[in-house]
Order: sequence, then C-alpha cells, then structure tokens
Amino acid sequence: MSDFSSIIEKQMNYVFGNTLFDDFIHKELVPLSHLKERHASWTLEVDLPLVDKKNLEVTLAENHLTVKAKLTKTYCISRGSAVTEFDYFKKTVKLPGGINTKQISANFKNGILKITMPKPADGKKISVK
Amino acid sequence: MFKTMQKSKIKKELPKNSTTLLLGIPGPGLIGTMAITYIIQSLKMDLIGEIESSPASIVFVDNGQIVGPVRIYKKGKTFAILSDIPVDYDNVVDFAESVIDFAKRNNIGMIIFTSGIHVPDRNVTSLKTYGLVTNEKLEKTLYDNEIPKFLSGIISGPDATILTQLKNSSIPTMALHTECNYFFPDPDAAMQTIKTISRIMKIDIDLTEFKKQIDYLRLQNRQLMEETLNVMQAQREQPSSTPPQIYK
Repeated sequence: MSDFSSIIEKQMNYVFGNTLFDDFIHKELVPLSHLKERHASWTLEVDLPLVDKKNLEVTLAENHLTVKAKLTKTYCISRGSAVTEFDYFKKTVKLPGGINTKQISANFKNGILKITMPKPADGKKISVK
Repeated sequence: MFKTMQKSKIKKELPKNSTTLLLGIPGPGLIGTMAITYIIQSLKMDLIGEIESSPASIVFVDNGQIVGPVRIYKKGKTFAILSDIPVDYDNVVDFAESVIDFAKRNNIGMIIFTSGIHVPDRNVTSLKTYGLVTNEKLEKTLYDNEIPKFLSGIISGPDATILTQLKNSSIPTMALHTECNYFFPDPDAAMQTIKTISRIMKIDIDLTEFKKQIDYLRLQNRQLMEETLNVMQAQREQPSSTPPQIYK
C-alpha cells in the first residue's frame, strides 16, 4: 500500500471506523466476530445474516482462518448519489497459538457461524516440587 | 461524547400530564436502540427536541435537517429519548442527569429503560425479558404483565450508572433486560422488548415491518455494535453469564 493510500485509510478509519471502511476498500462486507477463550477451547462466532449454509466457506491456512459467504441477496449501501453493491462477506482472523487444528469444528445456526477450536490436550509435563 | 452536557432543550412547550418516557441507548445487542427506534417509527412520534452536547462531536442529517445524536420524541402521553451513539463512561452521569432533568420538568410518571442480558446459546423463539423496578408500585405492573423479575445478577457499564442515577431520583423506573447475544446486533431480542413494552403500555405495535428487516438490521448496525462494544470494553464490562431467576 502506498503512503497516500495509507494516509487516506487512516483518515477514513477515523471518520467511518474500521468495519465500514473495510467494506468499501475490499468490496466485501466485513462481518462482526467474537473470539472467546473457554476452559478447553477457543470459540469464534461470526455474525452472517442473509447467508445460507450452502454458500459458506471456511478455510484454514497456517494460523489464519478465513470465512467467506455469499449473500442470498445483494446488499446496497448508498452514500450521497453513489451506491455500492455487496454480494459477499469475508473476514480473516488470526488464531491464537496452540490450537489443535485437526479437531476444529463448525456449525451454523440463525445466521451465526460458531467455530470451536480445542486446545491441545497433552503437552510437556512439568514436575511440581 | 456528551462533553459538557447541557440541560435538555425542548423546542416547544409540553403538556404537564405526560406519563411515560422510553429510554434507548446502544448497549448489549443494540436492543435499546433498535426497539425504541421502531416504536418511534410505528407510533409516528414527533421529534420535539434534543439532548445537547457541546460541541457536538457528530450530527445526523434527516430529511435535510441537522439533528443531534440524542433526540427526544413525543406522541400523546408517551415520550422517548433515543441515542444513536454509545454513552461512554466520562459522560454517562451527565447523560443520566439530563434524562432525569427532562423527566422532572415534564412530569414523567414512569421511565422504561431498555437493555439486554447476555445468554449464550439462547433460543430465539422463546426469549425472555426480565424486569427491574425502582418503585414498589411498579412491581404490580411486572406481575400483571407476566414479566419475570430480575432477581439476581450483575449490571455493569453505562447501564449501571444510568440505573443508579434513576434509582436515586424520585422518578419510578422500570428496566427491561432481554436475553440477547451481547456481541452482535440482536433484532430478535429487540422484537421481544417491543412486545413487552407494547403489553405494559397497552399499545398495539405492528411488527410486520420489523420482521422483514431483521437481517438488514444486523447488517446495518455492525459499525454501531463495534463502537458500543469498544465503549463497554473500555469500562471492563463483564456480561452476566447466567439469566436471573424467574419471578414467582
């Protein structure tokens, strides 16, 4: 990204905040998400209204998880006379370390994607003195 | 956001017999904002004033008119105060005092404050709204309308400050906390809140339009939800993990 782009992005973020600005920059809606640490796992919830399960794609690459989903209807945002159309949600989330990636599971209910990422069950034993 | 909050400003003289004030601010699941916005639209309430902040950090343009983020509406004996921006810790006391000042000057008989309570894995088809009152007389209203009482739990953040201020005032207040998703806009919970207010006030509110807009409300309110969570997290808000006991 050029210096100019970087400055403009900072200004736009100040005015509109991250979510809306990201929508316009990437031409894809950025869904809200929430990562929560539980006793034996991490849970990532992603809010995906206007999405069918069949149009949902979750991919894992190294320590990043990407959620992409096609909307059931085109969503339009108007600013003045300009109208921007959106057909996809997309978000990439950096995962916390030490996740058992083979055990990751996901379900989708009421437009909320819930991804459960178990913590490793075994590890190096530490002796207690 | 409510720096040097001034007293509420009313554009025209109000009748002295008005009784109920609905209060909605961005909070858990944005329930208060969405519910009160819809009630204002449904009842065709008139914009009669604003609670001013000076200098205003943000203004909205509606129908070619500049309006502030915290507005006062009225229809018959019902008033509503609606904030489109989260109330942060630095300004929440001023905000609450402005609401109380407005209520006293307009002989408000009851304030209904709307918010949410975090319930993980809640069932959207059977959401509950819990009531908390500052005046004994309102206990009967809860009972008559089959609203379970908020018996135990923790309320923190701006809600706690506002409720404390309202409790210390002489104005009877009923806080309605609906089970919700704390982190995402929750129109289902807002709809449940509207139904409860509708019962309490004995007014008919058609929810057809709201139901049509549920997915869009979740999309449109992403930014406000993010800002609200930032404000609440700055205050180390901890959502209650369990719903309160049921009122017997």
